[in-house]
Amino acid sequence: VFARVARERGPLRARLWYRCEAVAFATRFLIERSRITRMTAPSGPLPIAWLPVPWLDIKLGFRMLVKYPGLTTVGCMALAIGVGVAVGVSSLVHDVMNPTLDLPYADRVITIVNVDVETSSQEDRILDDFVEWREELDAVEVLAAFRSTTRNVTGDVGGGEPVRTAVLNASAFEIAGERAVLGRTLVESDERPDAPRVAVIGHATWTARFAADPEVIGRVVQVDGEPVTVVGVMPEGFRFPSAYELWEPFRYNPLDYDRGEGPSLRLIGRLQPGVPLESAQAEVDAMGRRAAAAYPQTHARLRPRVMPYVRQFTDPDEILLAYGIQTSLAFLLLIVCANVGLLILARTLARAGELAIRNAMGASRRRIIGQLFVETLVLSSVAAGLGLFLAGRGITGFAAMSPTMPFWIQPGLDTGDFLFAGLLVLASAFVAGVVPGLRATGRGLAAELQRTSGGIAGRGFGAGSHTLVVTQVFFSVCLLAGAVAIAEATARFRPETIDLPVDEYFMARLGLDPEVPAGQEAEAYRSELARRVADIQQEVERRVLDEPGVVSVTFASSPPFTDHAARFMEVDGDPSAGFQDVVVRGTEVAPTFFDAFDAVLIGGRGFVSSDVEEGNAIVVTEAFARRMLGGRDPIGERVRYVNRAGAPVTGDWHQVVGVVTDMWTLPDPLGGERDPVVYHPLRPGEVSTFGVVARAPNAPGALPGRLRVIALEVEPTLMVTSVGGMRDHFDEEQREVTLILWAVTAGFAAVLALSLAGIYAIVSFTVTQRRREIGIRTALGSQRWRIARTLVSRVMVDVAIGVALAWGLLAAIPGIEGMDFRYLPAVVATVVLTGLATCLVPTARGMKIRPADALRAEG
Amino acid sequence: VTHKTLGEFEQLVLLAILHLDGDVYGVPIVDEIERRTERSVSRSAVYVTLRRLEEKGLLWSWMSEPIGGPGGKPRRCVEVRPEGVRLLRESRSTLDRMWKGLDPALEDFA
Repeated sequence: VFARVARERGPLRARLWYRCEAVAFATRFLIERSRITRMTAPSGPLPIAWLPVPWLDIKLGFRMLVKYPGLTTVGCMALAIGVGVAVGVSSLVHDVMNPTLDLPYADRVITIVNVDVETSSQEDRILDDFVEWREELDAVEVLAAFRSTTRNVTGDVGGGEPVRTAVLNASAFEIAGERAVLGRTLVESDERPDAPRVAVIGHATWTARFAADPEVIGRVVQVDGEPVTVVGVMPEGFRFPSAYELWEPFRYNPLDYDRGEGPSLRLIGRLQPGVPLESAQAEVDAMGRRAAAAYPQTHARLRPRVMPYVRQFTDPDEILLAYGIQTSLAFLLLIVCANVGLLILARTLARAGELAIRNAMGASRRRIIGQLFVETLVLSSVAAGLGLFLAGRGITGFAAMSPTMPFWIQPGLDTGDFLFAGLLVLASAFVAGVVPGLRATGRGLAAELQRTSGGIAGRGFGAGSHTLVVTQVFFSVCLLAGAVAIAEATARFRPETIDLPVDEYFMARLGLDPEVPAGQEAEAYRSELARRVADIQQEVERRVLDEPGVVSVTFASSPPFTDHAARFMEVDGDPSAGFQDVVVRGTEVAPTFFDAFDAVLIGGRGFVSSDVEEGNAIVVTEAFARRMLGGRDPIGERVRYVNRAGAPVTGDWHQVVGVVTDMWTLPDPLGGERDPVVYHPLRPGEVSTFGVVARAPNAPGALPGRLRVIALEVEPTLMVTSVGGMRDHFDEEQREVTLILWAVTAGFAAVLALSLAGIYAIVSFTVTQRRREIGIRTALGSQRWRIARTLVSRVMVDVAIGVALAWGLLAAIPGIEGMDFRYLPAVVATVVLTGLATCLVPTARGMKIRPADALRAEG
Repeated sequence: VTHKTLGEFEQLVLLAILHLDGDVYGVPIVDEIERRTERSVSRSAVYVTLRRLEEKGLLWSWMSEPIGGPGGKPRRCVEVRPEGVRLLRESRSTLDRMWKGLDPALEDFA
């Protein structure tokens, strides 16, 4: 046949035909053999060698999913959320806390930091130390330094937008082990002071700003207004050594700075092959001691530490928090499993008759529990599939929201996460399947057959189920109360409810690089910076005022609805006022600020130019007077910043010269009270980053874009960020509150659904269990409401206990005392009524039991 | 042709290299300057000066065998080029010419 086919179709096609025929024959043979084996096999489940469980049980598990759709839906959703959240958070925590550096010889990649032993903070001005470590450390093969900054890159698309930039040694690319996709990486000769200015750009910048121009190499582009030649484009995803899109050569020279001055640097290095980290530590210890003796003024308190590279970015407190979250999620999953277990127990007890018959026919207890385990395993596997899908989507969304995530954090589900999910599936199946199975098939299972019939079981749930309902009702009330309180605050946090027409304001954040350039005295540079900032403000103000529709322009270090420094203060001569429970929000503002925002001056005065020079005058809000000073007139009061322990931060006293209305602050969703705000005069010399705010009631849509253009025309090196309407910042702040609201509401919904499922299971089972009693009581003339009361009373006692505990707790905890719980009675009523409504269906079923039917079934 | 000159610290580094024998690298140069000048010297300044002198073509450098036996690190060893020696001589003669005849006049300042 082959020869014929070869003649007709040619040898190549004939060989292909032959192989297809061979595979088809083998498949047909295997299918046929399997069919014959099935037909001739002895009775009983057909074992499949590679499955650890009988195939029949798996089929039964799927049948149960279809037969009990309510339980399948509730159990599946609950387990899917439990597994999804547990796997998703665990995956993120693992990625952040135990990152895998995708670098050659990643286990040898280290950093060296100088730690101040008194403050436990990191000293980043280590240019001299870096040069010495690089040259002298035997244990370190390569050591590179880099400085983070932001540059305005003007490409073909967009104008002068900020790009995260690393100014780094060429040797860093040796550690990265990555070649450029176009052109080259940086080389050592680029670092010479007289070398032309060059840069390597990232793939995202290349595609977004240069439309992926293949001829970009050698092009001169504007970086901070200076001509820079592009010499390379890095591959997609390359953001080394953290999250950068532009790389410039490192030209800092220790000879240009005093020791302890210079740029803020971080280091990345690689140990020699086979050399342990401890050897490098011993070497830097010796060098640290020598530096402390030689330069006591700058180095006496510094101790160099060698550590794995990414460790420097991980806060030990965050590690604890992350693992705390993981543990609480494991607890959440346990609660979910317990609830699903309760539902499965109800179903299992209802099937006690069937189980007893199987037992009588020879099935061992182990076999029956195995079947129950497999049934639950099927349920939890389906749920885990759904949960993994949810976790994957959640992680992708989280990653998309964090563009500045370092390159070593690559969120996504990996093999470990799938294994973890598998483990959770097994654990869930055990808790929700085996534990109820053990209870349902306890001693005397065979006696069930004699004592009962028609599937009526004689055993109950036990005290555990009631504890579970109490606990869940407790959490339901707490979470619903929290959700309502936050929702109420969110509803109030709307533009219409504050005295500020947010749609009329537009802003941009402008920043100058505060690093002292090489060869300049720090003090002299700071005065020059102050002068430049003042000039920039003046020029920006003049040009923005010329824009059509703009009626006023002002400046603030933190304009409304942006992050404000949260600090504590003490009042001179009033130790009772203060720092312990009032967080003060501080911002520096230009003298024109209050007019631009139509602030109503309640007392004293606004800022004048002499305040800007002296710097100690402050204007406070009404909330400040109310909360810090007990409502007395604040004019003339002296206050100063203190740390959490109450010790003065700088010792400078500030005198209150004016009081304004709470223009834009609103009650904290979780605190109930407005935050006090302290306005300081904006002194150009003390800030290098500030917001420009333009008020334009009928502004053209192009105004935000014009703010950027004007700022860059005034000073090309300005970092221009957060450009947009004040409404955007307002919405951003509101979004955060809404996110909390959604999280709490989702938590409430999940816990309430679980408690309702528990209540339903208990009442439903009670009806089944007491079917005969109900029949007899009905026959004896008992009123229906009395029967209903009997059925729901026990579970409603559980609900009452849960509600009472929650109410007591919410009233007692001082931390949430300020929360507005006036809706608590309504919350309680909602939970109780929902609980009662859940009882309706099984109770109605119980009330419909006719005596004759019940007694016939018993007979 | 750019006229090269030497700063004081560059002269100190070049002279220290010329005083030393064998594999000459950063640490011995620092020690030599400190011993002869009796003042402390920043190591980072020496390392940066060495690189700068090499860029100017006054030194040449090579990586040595690992110093201190196995596990030791190869050091960047340096040697002064003839151009470096010429500039040193030129600096010295410039200074000598500037000093010539000043000693008697400056005796009152002692």
